[in-house]
Amino acid sequence: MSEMLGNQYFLTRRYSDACIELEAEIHKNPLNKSVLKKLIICYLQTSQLEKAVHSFNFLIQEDIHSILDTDPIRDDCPCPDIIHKMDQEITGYHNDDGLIKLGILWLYCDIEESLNYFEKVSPQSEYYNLVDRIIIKLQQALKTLN
Amino acid sequence: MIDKYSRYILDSLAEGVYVVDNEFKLLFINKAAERLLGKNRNKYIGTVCTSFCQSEICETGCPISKVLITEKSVTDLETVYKNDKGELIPVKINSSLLTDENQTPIGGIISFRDNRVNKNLEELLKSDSHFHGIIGKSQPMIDIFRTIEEISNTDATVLITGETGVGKELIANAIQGTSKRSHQPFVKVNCAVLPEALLASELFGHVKGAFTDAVKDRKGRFELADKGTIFLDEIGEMPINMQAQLLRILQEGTFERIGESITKKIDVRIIAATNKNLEEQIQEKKFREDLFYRLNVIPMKIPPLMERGSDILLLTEFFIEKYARKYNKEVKEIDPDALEVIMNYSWPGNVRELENAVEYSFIREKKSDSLCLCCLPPQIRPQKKCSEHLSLHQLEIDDKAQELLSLLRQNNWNKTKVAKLLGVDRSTIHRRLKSIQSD
Repeated sequence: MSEMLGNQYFLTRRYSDACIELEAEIHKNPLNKSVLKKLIICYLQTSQLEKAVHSFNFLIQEDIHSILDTDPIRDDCPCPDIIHKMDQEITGYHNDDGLIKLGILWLYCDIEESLNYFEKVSPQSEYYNLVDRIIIKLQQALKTLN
Repeated sequence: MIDKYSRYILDSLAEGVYVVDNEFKLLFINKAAERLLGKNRNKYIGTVCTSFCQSEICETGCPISKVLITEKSVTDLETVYKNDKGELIPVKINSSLLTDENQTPIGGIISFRDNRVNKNLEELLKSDSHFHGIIGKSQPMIDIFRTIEEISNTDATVLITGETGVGKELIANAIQGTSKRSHQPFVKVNCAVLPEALLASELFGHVKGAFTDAVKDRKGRFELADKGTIFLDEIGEMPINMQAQLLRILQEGTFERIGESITKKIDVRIIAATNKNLEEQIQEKKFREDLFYRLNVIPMKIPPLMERGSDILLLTEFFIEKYARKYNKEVKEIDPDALEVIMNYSWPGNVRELENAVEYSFIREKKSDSLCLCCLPPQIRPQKKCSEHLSLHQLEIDDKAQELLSLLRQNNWNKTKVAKLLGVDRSTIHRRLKSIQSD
């Protein structure tokens, strides 16, 4: 129905509902970065890892700062909470998919942690090629930041 | 997004206002919102609005998302916001969407006002001294409340007696409201207001052609109240002929519409009320003895206000809060000398008279925070004791004002009718009312 409604669903952590609204907006405007950065989290929270990784790679190649500039408090970003919950689930990220998920989420909070998780992804992962490109982008960004 | 002049306008409003963008980040908070929640607006600009209002509805039913979904503005939605001390503030909010030229939502605006005054009144009504809207904690009233609760599971007929203005209709409402028929029809009839012929038609209905004006079939109040309750107010005024028909309904639950021979059966609980002494009416052959005993299954005598001393203060406080809200005044209490007069007055018109006196005082009040003695109606206050001594001329004006207000109340504030009664123009009534208010 609208981007704004999607944003509201996102704020109230209704990720499935938010996904529908934000995807509709992305169809209209594929370069809407603020929508895309929320949509990535929605994909992760609705078990759509493939879509999440592709959208994440697309966004960081386009403008990595749209994620790096996230203020967890002012933006009411859910990533710290999601990571915290995953940390409590012992088996949650002992596989490549879990590492990728954490790598994506950490970029909203801390680039070095994010890189750390992506670097742990094994070559057997079906997303390894994409992860490789992500790592290169993160390393470049980290150099610029330092 | 918001220019300088719009900010001035929004800052001058008494209602709290805040504006969000399409990511629900605060773009603007007006001064009233800052004051009502005790939060520094500069700290919150740019943050998500939930951090500012901290309302339960942010999670469950954000008003802006409601507007987005329904495409209708939200008005007077009751909720609570959290102030800077973490206290919950009851508020009423309105919400609308901001859209661009293509009608795409680009943000939202919320206005809210402090709803504590209304909530206080509601809480007062829910407190121990209130029973289904009836105010009282005196022993006679507690006994009545107890009886009402005791009979809540029965269909027993109730006869409520008491002087005019004691609140017999409120008692009837409470009896119906606590009964197992509370979700069924509740029909009220004032037996004193209709002439005998019309009353019969009103109660039992008629068929087309039953009399000159009977152009079509019409159900009577008893039929409308089937499975529910009927309240027959001023039963003492019911014509003796009709009392026989009522008795039949009480005994058999049957009646016929006027002009029809088909007998109808109904299931109606009857609550009757009167300010007359029915036993005296029986002696005078104005009321059927057999009907009296049928009605008087559960007798409920409501004491006059002067016998409910402790309730006078409670009722006065209640009416002060009620009229402060109605007239949008800051009055919160009554001066001790005025209260003394109220407590010692005999209140022949009972609760209704007390309510009218408080309303009159609000119209006349000159102080902003309390009602003073000189604002009370002249027949209640001892003129010589008035703390703000009034001149003879002022007292004369007072009496006239009281007469006018009393007439207006009796005629449901129909100024045209009162103007006719007094033989003056309607504009004269308006002028006098204006002068009373300015006095």
